Amino acid sequence: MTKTETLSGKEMLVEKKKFNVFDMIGGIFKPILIVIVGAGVLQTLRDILVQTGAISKVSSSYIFLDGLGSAAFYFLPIFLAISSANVFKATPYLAAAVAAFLLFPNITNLFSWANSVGWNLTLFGKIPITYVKYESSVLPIILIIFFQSKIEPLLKKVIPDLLRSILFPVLTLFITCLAGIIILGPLGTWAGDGLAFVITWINGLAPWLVPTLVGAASPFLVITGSHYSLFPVATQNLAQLGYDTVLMPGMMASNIALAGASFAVAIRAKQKSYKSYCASSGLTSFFGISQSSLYGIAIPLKKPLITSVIGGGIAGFYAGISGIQARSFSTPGLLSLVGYSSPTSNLINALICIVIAFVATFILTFLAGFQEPSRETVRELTGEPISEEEKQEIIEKAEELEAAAREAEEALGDASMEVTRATIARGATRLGETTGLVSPTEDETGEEDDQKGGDA
Amino acid sequence: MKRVCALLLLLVCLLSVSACGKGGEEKVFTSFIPPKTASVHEDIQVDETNHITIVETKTITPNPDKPDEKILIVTYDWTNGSDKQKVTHGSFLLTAKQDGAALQPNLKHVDDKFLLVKPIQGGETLEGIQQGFELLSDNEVTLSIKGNMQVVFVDGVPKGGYPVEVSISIN
Repeated sequence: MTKTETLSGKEMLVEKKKFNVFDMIGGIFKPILIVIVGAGVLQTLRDILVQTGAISKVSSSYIFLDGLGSAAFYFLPIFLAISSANVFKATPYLAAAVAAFLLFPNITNLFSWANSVGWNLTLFGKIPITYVKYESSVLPIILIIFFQSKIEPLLKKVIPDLLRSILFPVLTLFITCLAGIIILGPLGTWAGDGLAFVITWINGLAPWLVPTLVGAASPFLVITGSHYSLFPVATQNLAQLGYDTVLMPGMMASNIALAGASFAVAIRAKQKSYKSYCASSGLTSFFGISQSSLYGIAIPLKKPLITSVIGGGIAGFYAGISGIQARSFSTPGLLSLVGYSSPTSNLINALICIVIAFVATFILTFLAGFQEPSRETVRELTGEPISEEEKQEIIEKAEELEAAAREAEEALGDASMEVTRATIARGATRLGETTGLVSPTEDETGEEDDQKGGDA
Repeated sequence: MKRVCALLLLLVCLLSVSACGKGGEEKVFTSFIPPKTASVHEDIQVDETNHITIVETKTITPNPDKPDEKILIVTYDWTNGSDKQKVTHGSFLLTAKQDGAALQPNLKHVDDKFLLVKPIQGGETLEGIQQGFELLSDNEVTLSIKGNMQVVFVDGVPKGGYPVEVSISIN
């Protein structure tokens, strides 16, 4: 069994050297997880209130409650743009403006209209623009801000200083937004469309395999936003067959697996606040809102990601061989069981699938262990305030550093005073030489030559 | 002194609010209520300004080698009842569904797809707009025409806006 450790000091430096895509995604999501957790819990509350009949889906209360939970997810690209800009060293507010452009109502409405009537959108009548659903998307904005971080230094080099304050934001926004909607944004959609084609093809050959694949690969589908491409397949299945076996069972298995991983981490973690974070993330994952588990636990700790892929895959395999059918489109979690309620055997198999996903992933995660994130990371994740002791420690360290800085400043002052004195003395000597009051010495002549050479 | 002033201001605000509340009449919100269903050739008012008349629906088989691949062509007139220049986009949205599933749009076989983006002045009618949809079967198709009303007041109570549905049989 691997020990549960806390990263700090040198280990953190070593970790920095091993920077990879998962660290990058973790770094991007870390600052915004607090929002995702809050919104996730509110969405769960909304679903529970609707399922229990406490509020109606057409009431104004539902609209407000839904807005509270969904707004953060809808505008996720803006949050991601700012945190991606911090990771990639781009200008954060320009990045936010790029994301706002993608979510601007006139643009999203135009995309939606064009998609509904089959109109091919173009820019300046020539450049084709592919329909992309940017709301709640993840990968497109990360790619776009990465691109922004690469063009910003180039623009800073090319634009003259005098025009920088005007041209830099104009060109950054123009180039990044255009590259985003023409090439970078559609990349995820093209990949998703390819995936939908492959999944539909596999479903025709071996229907049991699809829930297995979706159950295992759901975390990656969510990261890349490719799961949206499977929504039309699931909707069509529901409309034509009255049930779906492609998307809903696999995603339910995956979300419950992430819940299992979160609870296992909650039990083994040492820091109280991280335990609480993992438990609440596990709870929301149970109800199908798994972003906080995925981005705050599975991806940064890596091993829980592997175990939830295995657990989700096993449960998805069971869903496939038992032929579980989702009869309604809902958030794939515990509350979606209503959609599996008929016939009874379908409900029992769905329950078994949930148990397999949870238990298998919980045990695997518990046994595999993980490296607990540092105190600072946990504080960032949970929004926990600094304790009095820690505050005192920070103040002491700051005072030490300030004293050291003051000493260095004084030393620098003395040194510069010496340099000034030496310069005045040299000037006086030269003046004496020029006026003939002092005869030049060999050393001084040499120094003078050196100085001239240096000036030249 | 500051506290006394703040309290006095608060009192004035409260009195003014209560005065407004007691003296005003209860406002009843009303709006245009679109029909839930309509039929071909009927003048359908989909919201406060936009009128649609479905003139014709026809089914074509673009590829004789594939008789199962059928396209439904819907021809309609649109009257812009507002006082501003507008295009179809942002004014209304016509979609189709069959067997409960949304039909895939297809503009390859319409006469002039650019009518969809042709602006017309307020009060004018644009005739012969066409949209195409890939049929899934020979079953009945439901056309949904959604105007730009997000909220409809029924008996003073706000309800979500809805599309007008037109049923079409496929021969």
